[in-house]
Amino acid sequence: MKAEVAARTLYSVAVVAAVVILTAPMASAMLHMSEDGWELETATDSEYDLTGMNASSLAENISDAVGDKKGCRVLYGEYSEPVGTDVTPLAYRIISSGAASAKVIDSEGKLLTQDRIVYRDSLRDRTVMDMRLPDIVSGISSIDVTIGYKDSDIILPATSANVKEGKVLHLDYTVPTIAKYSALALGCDEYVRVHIDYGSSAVFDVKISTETETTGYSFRTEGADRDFVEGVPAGESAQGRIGEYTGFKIEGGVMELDGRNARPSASIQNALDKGPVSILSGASSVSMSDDTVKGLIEVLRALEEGAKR
Amino acid sequence: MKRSGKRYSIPLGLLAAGISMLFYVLLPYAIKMLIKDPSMFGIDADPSGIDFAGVEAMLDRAMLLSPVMAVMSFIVGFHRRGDKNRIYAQIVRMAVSYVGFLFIINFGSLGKVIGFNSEGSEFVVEAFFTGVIGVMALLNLLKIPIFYGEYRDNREDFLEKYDPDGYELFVMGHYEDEDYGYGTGRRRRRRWG
Repeated sequence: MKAEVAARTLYSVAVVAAVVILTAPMASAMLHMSEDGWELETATDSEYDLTGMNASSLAENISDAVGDKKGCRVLYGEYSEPVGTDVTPLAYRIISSGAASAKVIDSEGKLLTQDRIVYRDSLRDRTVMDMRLPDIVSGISSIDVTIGYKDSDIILPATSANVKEGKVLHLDYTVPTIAKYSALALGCDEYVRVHIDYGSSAVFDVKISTETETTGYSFRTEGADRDFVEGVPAGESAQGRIGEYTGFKIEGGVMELDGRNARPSASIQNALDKGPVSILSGASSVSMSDDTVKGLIEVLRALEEGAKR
Repeated sequence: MKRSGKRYSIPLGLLAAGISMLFYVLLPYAIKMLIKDPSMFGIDADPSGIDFAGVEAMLDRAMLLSPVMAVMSFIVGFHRRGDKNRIYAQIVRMAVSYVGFLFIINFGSLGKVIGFNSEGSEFVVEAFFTGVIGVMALLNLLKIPIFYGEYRDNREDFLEKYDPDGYELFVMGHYEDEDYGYGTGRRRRRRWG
């Protein structure tokens, strides 16, 4: 065999091997594609952990799960109740029963699914979501999800993000309402950033920004140490502190931050300089990563600067 | 009678440069057109509202690189097969094309490969190809045996045609008079007895 032919043969084999290695996860997924394997759908089992859910978000979740289906029931503790047109009284009964969990079933006893489950109280919005991915992405080796607010530095790493059974992306993330209302007052849209590592050969960053209605939110300062965000949901009510030096109160559609002799952004910065910052309200607390707190400080600074002008 | 033609060929150099231009200009341009208006290729799809900024930037970078690669290819084609200078030119072109590849893929960071708006949501996919950088380096290095193989297979013909003195030395160095004869049948081993 001539030397050039031998070298070219070796090169061709190497190229084929490289292509196979680089595309193996994708190729393997494609070989096992089912008919509906290209579809992306969100389907989270309608089973709720009642310890972190208030009556209004439970009612919202039950309504989402049931939609326009008839004959559905909610199972909680040792009870089973049919779901009527107005789910709010039912939600209050379920919460006051002290049951730890509840699930919604259809007329045939099958567990329902919904897009997402929202656990909401005055301190946080926790969202749990199971997303069925197209079969093609079953070869992903790791996944990382961050929630943030566009044009702000607020980033909230997901509490958990993993791929179940090779094709279901399970997401669980918590947004502290104080960070959320501040970002909305600045007019920032919420986004979800999914960072996918594909077999160590390629990394994809998927960013989905959702236009958020922020027109109802406004910001003002009072004196040298108080910030107010107006337009927050009127039913919310909580008070406590952010770190050591900043008080907050949410009541009557207004969120007030009290920096206690300093701008709230500066007093939160002081707390951050000394260690991790959490939001505390009675027995309830929400911990925030340092990056999230830095983002919140930047947003408050921008709002305070804007209010000065 | 030994011949002594030109060791270099401008038409072959131009041909190599032309092929390189086709690869680095026409192919990216065709892909760009396909992205912008698939109907030109008979594909029924509407890409308006879809942003392929990262892919388009990559194709633009490939087109920007085309003059450099055309010059490199010209130098390779200019030197005939079997010429030692062709190997050097091929190795330099290989190195330049690898650096060019890194430039085209922006060192693996393609940026926004696709982006679009749907029902009030903005969807953006950014891609980073990391594995391909090392693989391409390896594949490039594997071209060196091809360059050497081509040189080795064509060396004798090259010297015979374009360097008679070199050919004499080559033959003396490679064949022993007792075993091989010169001329067209020189590779046939003489049988004795």
